[in-house]
Amino acid sequence: MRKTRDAPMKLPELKQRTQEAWKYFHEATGTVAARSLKDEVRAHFGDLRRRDTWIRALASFEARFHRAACLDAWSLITHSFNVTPDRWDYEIRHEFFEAFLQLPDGLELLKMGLEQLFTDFTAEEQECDGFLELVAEQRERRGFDAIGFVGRQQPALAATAS
Amino acid sequence: MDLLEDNSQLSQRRRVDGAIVNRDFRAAIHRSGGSQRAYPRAVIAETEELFDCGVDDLYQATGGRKGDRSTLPEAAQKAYMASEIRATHELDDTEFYNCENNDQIDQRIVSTTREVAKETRRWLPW
Repeated sequence: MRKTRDAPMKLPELKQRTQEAWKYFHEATGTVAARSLKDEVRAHFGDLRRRDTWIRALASFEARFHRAACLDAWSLITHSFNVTPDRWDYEIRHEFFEAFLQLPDGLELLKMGLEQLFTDFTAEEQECDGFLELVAEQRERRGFDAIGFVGRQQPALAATAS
Repeated sequence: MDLLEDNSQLSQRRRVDGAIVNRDFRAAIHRSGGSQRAYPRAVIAETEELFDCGVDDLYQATGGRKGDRSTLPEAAQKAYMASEIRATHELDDTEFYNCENNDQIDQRIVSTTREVAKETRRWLPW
């Protein structure tokens, strides 16, 4: 049984994680930030004193970092979004996933990843329980199947997620 | 290790491609204690060293389809394979002493991957 993190991230850790995600995003895209992180967060995500501002910023930078580093789409399913309670990003998993879906090719990459995973991989290598749970929770959270691939791509996937 | 005396190595038989090599590499990162950021950071580091660019640049410049490494030119796929095979063994052979937290372990994984990719690049024709 994996150890679950004891408590939600406090603001200093959120800020630290955001700073890292911002740095890794720029490394991944070979870009230089035009302004400071605080200015960037304030301009796009709102009041710096609010926790939800930093959660949205972290999720957005983390999503763009994982997209930029995506060499193989299947790794989004088995790695990036295969979130489990022991991971620090578990508590921001929905914001992370939704930020990824907002990216122009986010949904397309996830679909491609599922297709690769259930075409080329052995059953053992297809382990993505954290992803399936996330998708099922998303369906509850959004009130509809916003992702659209559960039930169409892979019957076993639909059975597990429902 | 003597391959012929290692039954665990001899029992695995199937066609090996870039995806299988990459899965082993990712598993080695996991065994080393890397966080969820270690793998994407390692991919960025190896891509920079092997090709002097980012992942998106590589796909765009070569006309590949983002997210599907089998659409990259064969030479690029081979470069990743060579580097990731070496990095897998290097990570498995390395004990990450004096690492106090995940971030330090991640950094060591990324550095190891980068060094291996740098050495691999010397063997490549570009």
